[in-house]
Amino acid sequence: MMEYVIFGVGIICWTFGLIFIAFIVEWFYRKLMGHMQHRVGPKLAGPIGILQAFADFIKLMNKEEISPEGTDDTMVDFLAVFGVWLVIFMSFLLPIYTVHGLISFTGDAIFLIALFAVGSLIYIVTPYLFKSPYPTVGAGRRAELYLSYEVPMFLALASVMLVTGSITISDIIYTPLKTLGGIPIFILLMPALIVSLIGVMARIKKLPFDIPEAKTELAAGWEAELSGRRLAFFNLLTDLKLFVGSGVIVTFFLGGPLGPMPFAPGWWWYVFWFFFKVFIVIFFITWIASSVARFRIDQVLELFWKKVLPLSIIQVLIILAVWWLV
Amino acid sequence: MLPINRFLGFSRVILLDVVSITLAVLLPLIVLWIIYSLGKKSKRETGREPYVSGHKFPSIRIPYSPMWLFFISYFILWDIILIFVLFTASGASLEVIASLAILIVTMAAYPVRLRRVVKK
Repeated sequence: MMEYVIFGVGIICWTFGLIFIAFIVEWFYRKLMGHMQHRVGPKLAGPIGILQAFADFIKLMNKEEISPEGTDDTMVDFLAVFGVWLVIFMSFLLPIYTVHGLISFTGDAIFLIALFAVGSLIYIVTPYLFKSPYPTVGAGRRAELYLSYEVPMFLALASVMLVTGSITISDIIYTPLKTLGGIPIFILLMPALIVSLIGVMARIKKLPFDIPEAKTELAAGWEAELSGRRLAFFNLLTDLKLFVGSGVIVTFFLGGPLGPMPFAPGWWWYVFWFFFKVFIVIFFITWIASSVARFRIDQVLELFWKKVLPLSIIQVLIILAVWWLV
Repeated sequence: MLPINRFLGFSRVILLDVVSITLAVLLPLIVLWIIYSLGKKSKRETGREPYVSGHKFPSIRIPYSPMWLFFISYFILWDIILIFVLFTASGASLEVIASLAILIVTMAAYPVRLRRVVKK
């Protein structure tokens, strides 16, 4: 009984800790983007503005929510909480403090990808619950974007599982350290890494893939009618997805929590390397987001169906060719 | 086991018992729901703003077909099952693979069927 109580307390600590990390991630993203665009970025709340995301969250939670007539309020409230819960549950599968996640079982890599896919559906369904034109158009764009990036990203992640010969995360994290036919697997998986990075950016709607919200055309698109605590939770969801999405890339391609040395002095070693790698991935995402203008929807579809999808297919063929030659 | 496991109580990393999985599922949901409930609720029961912009627009019908949503949902399920079949084909029993394969074919055909129903 006592064991379950301690475990429950651990889960609650994990939940609050992840929310805290999401605030830090947003601050890092905004501060870095500010500097890259010759701005200061957040600076008022806390030292060097580190509490800005938390202050924004508190502010939004204290604002009254306004929704259009005919909105399915209960469902919107449910999806706001469910979305955040889903991403927190995904984090249980990530190998953060050791070589496997808090929840680990055979096939957890596929389960992680499945949860990732279901999370995208929330962004598509929620705007339909408002009878408003902007969110509806944003949801349609989001659906088109989803169909474009999902297949290449699945193929990219699947190619890692093909090389590993396992669908378990605790096996997959060792893959980049190995060689296949004398070639380092990390080099072999480079196209898949690029595809996954683009896929994660599209999934979290960061520039240049923020067409569902397109502030200048659609007045924030899918989130135009979100306000108050709903907006606070959906913002939190986006920040959490940035962290967990980067965590997925780190887990599949960059060795997860493994450091450069073959031994680990303690759990803090794994935590340090996991977070170090995650923040490097976020750095690259921010770099691309601050350098590239937003695509049009037709440009995005062309990019994914004509360039990214063939690249992911080529990746699978490369793996099969090396296997055949070896 | 690593020290943090003992500290946080994660001594059983592979969760297989129902109580642990229930705790992992329910506790974050309860915590999040409590945080969400602390937020300010809308007090306007009647006469709500039509849009946050403040403009008076009539509520409109969704310009997209609901079938689109069904298609997206089926697509998500379809590719997840496909990946399962791809990677478990060597390990799973023939009955499981066969039933999943039938499910994939059925689901691939379902949007076509749905389109006919919507058109009628």
